[in-house]
Amino acid sequence: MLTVGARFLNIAEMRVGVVGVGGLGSPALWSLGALRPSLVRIWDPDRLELGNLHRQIIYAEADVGRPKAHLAAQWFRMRSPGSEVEAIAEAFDEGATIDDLELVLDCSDGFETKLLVNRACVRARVPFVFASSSSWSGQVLGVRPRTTACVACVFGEIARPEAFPTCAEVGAFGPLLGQVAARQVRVGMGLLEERGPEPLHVFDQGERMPVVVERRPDCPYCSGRASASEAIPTPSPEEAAPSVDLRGLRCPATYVETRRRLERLPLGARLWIVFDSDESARTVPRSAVAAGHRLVSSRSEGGVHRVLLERGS
Amino acid sequence: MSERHGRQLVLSGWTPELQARLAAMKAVVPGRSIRSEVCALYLVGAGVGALAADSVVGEACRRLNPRLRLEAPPASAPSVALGGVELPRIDTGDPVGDGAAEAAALLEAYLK
Repeated sequence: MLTVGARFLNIAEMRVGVVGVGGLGSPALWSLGALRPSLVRIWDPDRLELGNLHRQIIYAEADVGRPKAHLAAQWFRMRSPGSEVEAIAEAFDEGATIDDLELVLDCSDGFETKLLVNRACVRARVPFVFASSSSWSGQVLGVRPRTTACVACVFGEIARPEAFPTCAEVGAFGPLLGQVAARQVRVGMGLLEERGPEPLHVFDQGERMPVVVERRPDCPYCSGRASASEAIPTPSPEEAAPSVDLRGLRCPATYVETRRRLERLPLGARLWIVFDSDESARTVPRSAVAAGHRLVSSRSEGGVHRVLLERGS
Repeated sequence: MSERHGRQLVLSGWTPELQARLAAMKAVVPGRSIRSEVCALYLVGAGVGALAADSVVGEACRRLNPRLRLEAPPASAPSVALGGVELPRIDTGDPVGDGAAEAAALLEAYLK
């Protein structure tokens, strides 16, 4: 039934933590239930509300008012009878036990909790998968602590409200949460087997795009061994092409915008993109090339980076 | 209805009129696999009022909404449908992601 490959075979030995059983945690449990892990530990401090039901597809209307951690545990025991299930009806905090787990799925909402999960998993060196979704977009990032980019490497340490608006502000689309959570579980399985870099998966307007991300050498969460930053390619002669100014934007918005602009052009047409984010200047061209476009030229001066991209197929 | 679907009603492109029309619509989701169950749960969660599906899938959806009107599924249907719009099934080998993607495609087609 699952055709994702041999990496799913050792799941029966696996102990997985699920932080939050709401819009992401519910479909994540659906995916995990099919894999029958040996243990699932669930954290959630909330009680079920009527307004949860449109997107949290493991609950029953009759259960409104009851603690979600216990309801989710009950559901999982029914779906995966061989699995041991622990329900913790409290918020995930610094004291949470995770060092006996092989994988943590961060299905929480709120950037503060996400940084807490990031800190705990990096400290205990437990692989984990960050996910978030609101409105019509979502993001998934698998993290092998101190090996691949962590949540703070990619998003910074300060919650930018515009990057993580709450569901109450911009709404939530249930089926998108399901797609994001299913990807989160797949990325989690892959984390345990593969050793390559982990892309950030960006869901936007019904499309999924893998975006190249990098560790930050000065990351207060996971640095210790700085990763070598890539040299910027030697500039080639300036070529005439329209220009799009993306100064002020950071990843992944820079990439989403770059692709959107580029893919409006005919095949072979070129576009200069201007960034002031160092990270975007490195990662956006690589992601664009991976998506089939061509990097023609790039140059940097005084903190401003210009890259010339050619529309591919 | 607004308490139940509040987080959905604030989505750009979603209106109380669309929500009310969805309650009068029927979805057709054949099969009793995880993919079918997830697809049907998301459609019923979104507010679809009637469902033609396998009884196992139908009963699971009734937990979410006890007022759901259930019908028997068509004898054989290679597609999923919402309000008469039929879409092909999605099969990438990830049943939860595929079921969610089917529901997303049907609802997005309806919203357009």
